[in-house]
Amino acid sequence: MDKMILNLGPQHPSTHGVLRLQVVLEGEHVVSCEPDIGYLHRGMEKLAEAKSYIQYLPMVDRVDYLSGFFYSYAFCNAVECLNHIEVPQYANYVRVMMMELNRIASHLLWLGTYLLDLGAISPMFYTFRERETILDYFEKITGQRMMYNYFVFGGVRHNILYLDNVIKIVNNILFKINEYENIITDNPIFLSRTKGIGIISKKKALDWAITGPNLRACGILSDYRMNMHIYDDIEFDIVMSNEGDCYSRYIVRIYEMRESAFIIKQCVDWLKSNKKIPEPSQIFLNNFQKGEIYSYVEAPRGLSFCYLNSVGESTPYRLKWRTGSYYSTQLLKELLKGCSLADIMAIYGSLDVVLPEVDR
Amino acid sequence: MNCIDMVKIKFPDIRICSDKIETDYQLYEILEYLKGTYELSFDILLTIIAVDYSDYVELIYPLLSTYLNERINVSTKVKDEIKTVSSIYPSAYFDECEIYDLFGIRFAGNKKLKRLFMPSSWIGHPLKKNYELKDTRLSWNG
Amino acid sequence: MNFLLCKFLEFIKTINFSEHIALVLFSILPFALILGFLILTVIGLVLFERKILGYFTQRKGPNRVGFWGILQTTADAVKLLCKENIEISSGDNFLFTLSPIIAFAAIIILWCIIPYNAEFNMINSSVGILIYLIVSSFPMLFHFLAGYSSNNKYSIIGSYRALALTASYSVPIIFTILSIICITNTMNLNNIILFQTKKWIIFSNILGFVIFYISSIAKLNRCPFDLSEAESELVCGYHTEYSGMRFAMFFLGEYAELFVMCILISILFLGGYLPPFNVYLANIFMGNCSLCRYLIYFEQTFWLIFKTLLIIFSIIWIRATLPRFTQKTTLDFFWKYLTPLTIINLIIITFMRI
Repeated sequence: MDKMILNLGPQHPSTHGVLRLQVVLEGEHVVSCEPDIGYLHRGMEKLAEAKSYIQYLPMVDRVDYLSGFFYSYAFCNAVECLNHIEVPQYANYVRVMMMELNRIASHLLWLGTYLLDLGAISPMFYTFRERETILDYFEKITGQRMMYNYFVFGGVRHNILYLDNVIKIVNNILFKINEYENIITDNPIFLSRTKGIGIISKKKALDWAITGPNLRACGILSDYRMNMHIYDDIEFDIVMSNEGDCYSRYIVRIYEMRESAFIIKQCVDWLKSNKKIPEPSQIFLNNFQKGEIYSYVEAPRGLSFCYLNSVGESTPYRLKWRTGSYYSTQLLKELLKGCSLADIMAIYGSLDVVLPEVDR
Repeated sequence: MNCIDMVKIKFPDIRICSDKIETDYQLYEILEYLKGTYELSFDILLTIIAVDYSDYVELIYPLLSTYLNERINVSTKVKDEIKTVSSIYPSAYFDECEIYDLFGIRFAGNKKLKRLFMPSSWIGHPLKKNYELKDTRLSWNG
Repeated sequence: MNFLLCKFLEFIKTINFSEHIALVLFSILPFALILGFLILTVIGLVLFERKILGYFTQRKGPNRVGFWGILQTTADAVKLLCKENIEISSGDNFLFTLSPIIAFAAIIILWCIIPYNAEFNMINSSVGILIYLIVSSFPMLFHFLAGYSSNNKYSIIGSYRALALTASYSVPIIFTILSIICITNTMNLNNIILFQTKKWIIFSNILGFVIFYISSIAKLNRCPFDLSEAESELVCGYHTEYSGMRFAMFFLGEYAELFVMCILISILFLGGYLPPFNVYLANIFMGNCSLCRYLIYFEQTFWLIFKTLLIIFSIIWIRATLPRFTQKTTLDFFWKYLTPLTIINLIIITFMRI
């Protein structure tokens, strides 16, 4: 049979952005696949070298617009560690709460678009409805729905309010997740599309530096939240699954949302019981320390970090982002070999790739 | 025993600078040792960081061990060419392409080195400190 | 049609009009009536689907143009008509233009075969159901040609997917129709309906109904069998390159086919235009007056469309719920499960007849 070279993207309904997959097809069968990135390269790392720390802060959310808080945290934490800025415990709890809410919002968006990739239209609207409640809350607190710019050096920009709303939102989402599971998890068509499709073996996952939920779905226990100091007093379980196929990645994310809800409830309890609320104050840096900092964070799409190299100037000397999607995209080359055309979207969607994060 | 100490015993030539192992010529061997030794098994190469210090470029290899839940950074200095590590860590392919693209470092042994972010006709390497920020539009002939 | 023809001629005589012209008019008028009905139905159907999908997904659906969004699809149709026709630079432009026209024309013929009530049946053939089968295979063929002539890779993949699917759903559809012919001993659609006066065929052939329903979803190219235009994989399948009027032809054709296919299901299994329990509302409320005879025709059409809309609603419901099959699972499903099941069903029905 003749081979057909098909360019999926950069403009394609289900690449969720501007990824180009150069696929060689033999009928429905994928012979090879070459991911091509760089269509959304904004030069975040070069921009950091031209801007002062405080000027760069609002841009950090744009590394990944679906989970801005995580990158914001990574950058703030890097600057704080470098300049030995003390962050009050209160702010740490607020940060954890906001990050976990953001994780739920990000996973909800993934769930909806993933089912859309598989051809089911309704779950997208349902998940967006719940995501909306979280975004509304973010808007109330930070004034923004996507690019929050809420974490600042030394804490958070405003004090947290409306804690009862958070409990309401989280309880509602916990209830709705059961509804999603009713419509999705046991659906025979969904199972036939995801079970045994796109299996990542443990070795492959490690070789190709897959992190986050995708790695945990392969049966490897690796969650950086265990090592992050702001999660020290918080109890949570790490969700794992063993098969490494699309279905286990789905299950891991569903249960991770429940785990996040559990963390949020603990944060709210702590924040409510805490009587001593510090004044929010942004610390303006005057003298800049020299040094190198690796600030890790467990983002929804994998382990991310911000490498910050300062030589004592008002701008970073070098700033590097490590993001999870970048490596998931790289894996596509291995993963898509031998699958069928319809499975491309099932596999690619299950990896939860967000293109701004890949190109930075 | 500390991971860094184990490496120090095996490779006495390295320098230890806080949490970073600095090596001049043994990078490939150290990474092979860190991944291959069962007690360490640093199985994930998180990324490769390049820092341009004008007269040389420092490459930092942050590694993660899911087995020990520990991280370690290995760094080396390079002028313009270094041996690829993608035979040890396949995930290094994109990183090496990125560094080739943005810093102009060539990786010997990496056959399909290409411009990852910039158009293939782009002149210059944007993250180098001597890269002219002006007239960037003019240098793009794509 | 004879009754209608007599009435029409009587009416013509009263206004002193030439009888020859009247006969010509009578052969054109039903076509015009059906075409007008088709366009109106399709426009209504698109709105119906969007509204229902909207409420399934907690939205309101179209609600801006006209009262309750009622003119939304009309506005869309007008927009499509006014759009520029984009010709493809490479590929077969002649086939590219021809395909939507013939695909749409074939569907209009399908509409003419259907008995809408006891009197209004334009082509009352003794092999009506065979004509339906033959003509209904036309659109798929021209969908294939549309994809082929577009010279677009997505279109070609969509086209061959559609062809493979055609081969798999045709067997269950034809075998189920055979089982119905077995039961009713006739191929005339009107007679099939009249056969169901006492008992609808669905009660004697429930398995056949399920098989026919599933196969017709595949034939209509709808979720979960919408492989040939799977928008998350193939952008739009065979009509990726189409725009403006030509796209509108495909779009209208798709919904016209949906409607006529669901009419066929209700004719074959649910008693067509017969009311439930064979009791006419007009008879209940008005007794046996002369006006009643006309009202019953309207009521028959109402029941037909009511049953059809119920089936369409269930198809939309399925679309709102299920993800899409892959090519492999679809072919597996049709060839490994549905086709043997159909044959078993046919054998059982045949033995029951003996």
